Amino acid sequence: MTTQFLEARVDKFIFRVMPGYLYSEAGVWAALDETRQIVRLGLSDYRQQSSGDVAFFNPSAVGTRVSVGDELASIETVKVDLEVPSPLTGMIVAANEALEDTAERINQDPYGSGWLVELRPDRWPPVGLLDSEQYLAVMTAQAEAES
Amino acid sequence: MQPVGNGQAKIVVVPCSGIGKTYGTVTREAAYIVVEELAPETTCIVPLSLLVLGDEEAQAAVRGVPVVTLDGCKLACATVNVGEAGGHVAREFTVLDCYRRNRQCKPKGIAELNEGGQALAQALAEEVVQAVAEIFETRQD
Repeated sequence: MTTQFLEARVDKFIFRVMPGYLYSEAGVWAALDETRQIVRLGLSDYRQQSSGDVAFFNPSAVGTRVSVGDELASIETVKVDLEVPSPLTGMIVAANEALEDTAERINQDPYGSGWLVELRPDRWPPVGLLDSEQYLAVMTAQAEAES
Repeated sequence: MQPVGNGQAKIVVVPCSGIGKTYGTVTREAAYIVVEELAPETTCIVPLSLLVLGDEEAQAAVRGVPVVTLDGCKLACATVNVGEAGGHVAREFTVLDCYRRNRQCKPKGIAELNEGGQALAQALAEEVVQAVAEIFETRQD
């Protein structure tokens, strides 16, 4: 089944937003696995495109407790060294080990196999995150400001 | 095209022409290391900028001989433009892939590469020379 993304076009770029996920303004998405009560986190399409091709992914250690804004992972791209801020408070329970050898998945499939870490949140739903429609508007404004 | 000792033409190396980009600089540094230091008898450079401008001599130089391209980003301008000029890309390299294989060589700088960038250019050049040797073993032009 083909995913129906929300999309924004800014200049020659098309940025996709996964419906049903929650987002921070920094471009980190959060998706709850209701069965496991675990939240999977990753970079939005806009954030990965604006950051450039990923060379290396360095997650914080499994077991680390993070608060909103704490570093979930660092990502080195051809353009920047990016610290990924946590949109939630909780404990990191897994990191995407596949990214150790195939960090390009963050660029190729940001909402799927390019996920970054999984976290057990202290509370869900969280406070202060954006739904996909809200994030689309915020992201579009960010992209237009940078263009 | 100038022949090498066994009568075969030199293999052409085409690096990225991106100005103001660290990874583009790495490709050009690597290309110079190849043609000036590691394999001067068997390789030569064709500037990508001439291919982009449609320079007939440059286009002719990439036709009929194996070409090794060095790209700085996924736009792969070197590879694309060699193809559009009618050339045969025998091997293509990207700086990012080479960097992933040489994580200790973090490149910085544009006009002048840092130590990591120079080390990465050297590593890329050595990969290119290895590829050139393999091409010579199998080529039939």
